[in-house]
Order: sequence, then structure tokens, then C-alpha cells
Amino acid sequence: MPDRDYDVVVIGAGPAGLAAACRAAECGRRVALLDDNPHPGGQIWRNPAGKAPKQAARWLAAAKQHAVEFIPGACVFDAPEPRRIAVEMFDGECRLGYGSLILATGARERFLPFPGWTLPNVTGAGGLQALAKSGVPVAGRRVVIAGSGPLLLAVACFLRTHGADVRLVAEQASPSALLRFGMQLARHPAKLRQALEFFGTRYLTSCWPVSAQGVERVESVTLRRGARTWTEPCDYLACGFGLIPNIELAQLLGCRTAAGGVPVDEYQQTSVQGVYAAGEVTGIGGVELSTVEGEIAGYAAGGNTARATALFPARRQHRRFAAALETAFALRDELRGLPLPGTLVCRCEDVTMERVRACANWREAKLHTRCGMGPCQGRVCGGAIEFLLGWQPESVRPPVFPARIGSIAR
Amino acid sequence: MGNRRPRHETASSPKGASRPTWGSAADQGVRPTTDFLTLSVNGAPVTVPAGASVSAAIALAGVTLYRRSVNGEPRAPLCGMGICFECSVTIDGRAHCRSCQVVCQPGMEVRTDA
Repeated sequence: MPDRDYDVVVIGAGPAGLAAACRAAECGRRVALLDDNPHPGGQIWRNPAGKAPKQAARWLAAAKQHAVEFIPGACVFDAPEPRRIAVEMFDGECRLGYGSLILATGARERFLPFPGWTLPNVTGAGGLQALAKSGVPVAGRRVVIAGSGPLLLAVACFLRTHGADVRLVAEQASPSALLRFGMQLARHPAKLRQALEFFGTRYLTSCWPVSAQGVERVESVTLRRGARTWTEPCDYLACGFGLIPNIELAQLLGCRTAAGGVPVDEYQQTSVQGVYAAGEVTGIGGVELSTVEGEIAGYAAGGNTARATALFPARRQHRRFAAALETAFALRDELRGLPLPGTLVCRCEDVTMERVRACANWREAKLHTRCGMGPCQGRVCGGAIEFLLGWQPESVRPPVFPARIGSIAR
Repeated sequence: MGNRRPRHETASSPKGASRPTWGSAADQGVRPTTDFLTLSVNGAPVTVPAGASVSAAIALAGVTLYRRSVNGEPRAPLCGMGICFECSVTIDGRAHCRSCQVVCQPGMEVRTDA
């Protein structure tokens, strides 16, 4: 693909990115929308073998109408000069210039290491849903879902609908925390309904996995709840301990970042002029908040501040939900004891917990153990170590994603 | 759209990805696809619904081991969304491809580290 220039480049085609691209294009800007995935929609609107949800269809139609240019399978790995990014595709690479950049890079799951978590068929919670949506068969499979957050319920509903035998959902949060959250939910009927629809499968609070067993793949999971420990047979163990924002590109671009997300001003602009951020990358808040943040960023990048300002009250309302979410599903201290000394923390380089713990900080761990130095570049172990040891991710260096030599050296 | 070229000509379409147009993605909401295609996983043919990922083809072929870790442990997809690289396989001779991010094409040759 040849190098090109756009008024606005949006990275990430989930709810925030789609909304941002549509609104900027509506303002008459020439817009490119990039995503690492082969289809638009992000994780939440990922179409399961041909079924895009209604909200997604609305934005997809708007994107088409306003001639947003979608570039799928595009992995942004560097920002070699101001207002220019380097992008790699399956069969090539290119440089894209921009007037404004909107980061809608979303979030990933937080994984916590426990004995057996590296076995095949131990996946993320959202991870198993994503795999199922891409065609991995789950019908008839025995699934245990564990971890934390409302995503577990959504995944349980999805997998049941697709014929999986969902044995139980283990939520680490306490019932009292969830009760407080439930009261917040009453103001958000759509979310409440989703929680109620789930009514049916065992949903255990204050419960978490302590180990997974199996030889070539997972065969069972051992769960703990209070003083009780027991083993459940399963074909899949889907575990996610909440979400963490994908801030690596923002770091690369020199934006101020924090562990909880990329700080932005009222128009969703980061600390770097002309670089905006919207959606989960600014803090975990759900699809409604992501969409409205995307709209604000898109209008702001498109120069229509009046339209952007009109959406501030909606954003404020959704932010209250985000705050309630964070309190209710805060991870309990006991989970810091999940990895045993010999449990792998870094799956890319096979580095154990005891080797990481022997280091004073991230830098030392990287230099002495290669923890976080493999292909995922700390995207998996980073979230775990942040929770387990309190280490914040360090600055990033290009390429922020593994890239071919030919893409880097040109 | 006016005199602009159709979206599928301007958007880059890697061999590994289907050619998504805004239209097709939206259409799929009402008309589930019934097309199938055949590719090979470790030399054995496997037929998958059009649009399935290479991860799906590997699972449908009955393979649960995608790669071996540096210490020789069996590994398979963790994140399902292109972050973890545990699903890396060789596609048409190209090593280290994330199978969860690549859409199956007819005749594709997929090799796991099994």
C-alpha cells in the first residue's frame, strides 16, 4: 500500500474509533480508520460469523456514507516523525501522515498467573468469546468462567447461546461490593437486563481459580471460595481479571499516560497537540462511554467544537457508571498469592514468579530474566506484574509491535 | 460516495484478511454466510465457514497445540485478540503469524509447531 496523507487518522475500529471516524468525516475531513483486526467493530462488536449487532450496523452504515477509508489488518508499530505513523499489514507496510490522530486502541484483559494457566484451552474470558466469534467451536464444551467484572456475565451469556455447557462463573468480588454496584445498575436498564438474562448458570461471588490441571490441555480447574476448595472438570477455563487500557501507542507518541489510562482534556485531546484519545484507552468505562468519547474526539478533530460540547452531559453520566464499576470489581489482595514461586509469569520467555520477584524493578527484571522481552512485549505479564508487585510499565521503544525487518528498515 | 473508488479497492486487503467493505460487514447482520472453503492444517484438509479465523481452522482440525514455549511446554491461544502471540503459526511459509487475526483463504497452508 502506498504512503498517504489524511486529515484525520483513527487507530482502532471499535465503538470509540468508529464513532470518532464517522463524526470527523461528517465534518468534511478525509478520514482513515485502521484496525489490527480483519473486520471493524472492535472486541465488543466483533461479528460472530456474520451477525453484527444493531448499534454496530448504524455506525458501519454511517462510515460508509461519509466515505471513511477502512484499513484492516493494519498494525501500527512506529511513529518515525511528527504527524506520521508506520503501519505493517500482512503483505506490506506504509507510512500514513495525519493532521489529527485519534487513539481508540481499546483495552485488553488482565491475566493473573496461577499454576496451570499456561495450559492449552486456558484462555481469557473475552478471549474465549473472541475465539468463538471467529469460528472456534464451543458447542457442547464444558466451560468454567472465572476472574472479575461484568464481562464474565456477557461471556457466559454468549457462550451459552452458542451451545457451550457453562458450568459456573466464579467472580472474585464480594457480594456486598456487587450489591452496591447493582444499585448503580438500576440507573442503567440495558446493563441490568443483560445481568438478569444470565439468570440460570451458577454465579459464585468471592470465588476464584487457584490452579488448572491437565497434560496437553486443561482438564480441570481447582476453585476456592472461603475455606472450601474443590475441583471442576472442564474443556475450557476462561479467565479474565478485568480490563487494562492499551496505552503503548500513546506512550510512543509522547502523550502523558497513567496506569488507569491516557489522561485527556474536555475535548479528548491528550497532552500532545493534535493527538486525541477516546474509549477504553482513556480508562475502562464500557461501550456507551466509549462511543460518546469517540464522538467528542471526532467532532473536536473535525473542528466542530459546538457539537462536541453538546455531548459533555452524556459523557458525564456514563463516567459515573465507570467509577462504580471500578469500585465494585476491585481485585482482592488474596489474588496476589495466586502464583507459586515456580509459576510462569512471562509466557513468551518462560520466566517464573520467583525470578521476577528477586528483581528490584521492571528494568532489572528485563535485563536479568528477559521478562516482558518476548513477542507480546509485556502486554500479558505487564498487567499481572502491575497488580502483583506494583511495578508500573516503563517507557516504550519502537517497534511497539513485532515488525518485519523490511518494514522497519526502509 | 460519488466518484470515489469502491472501498475494497482503496483499502489494503492483505491476503490473510477477507476483503471487508462497509456494506458486507453491515449486510452480514441480516444474512449469515453459508459459504465454506477448504485449506490445510499440518497437511490435512479442513473445511471452514467463510470468514473463520485460522485459529478456528486449527481447532476444527482437532489440533490443540499451536506452539511449544522456549522450555517446550504446549501452548495455545490465550487472548483471542492479537495481543499474546501464543497462537503464532506458519501460514503459507510465513512464520510467526497470529492465527487469531488472520481470516482463512482457500488453499492456505497452515503449520503449527506440533
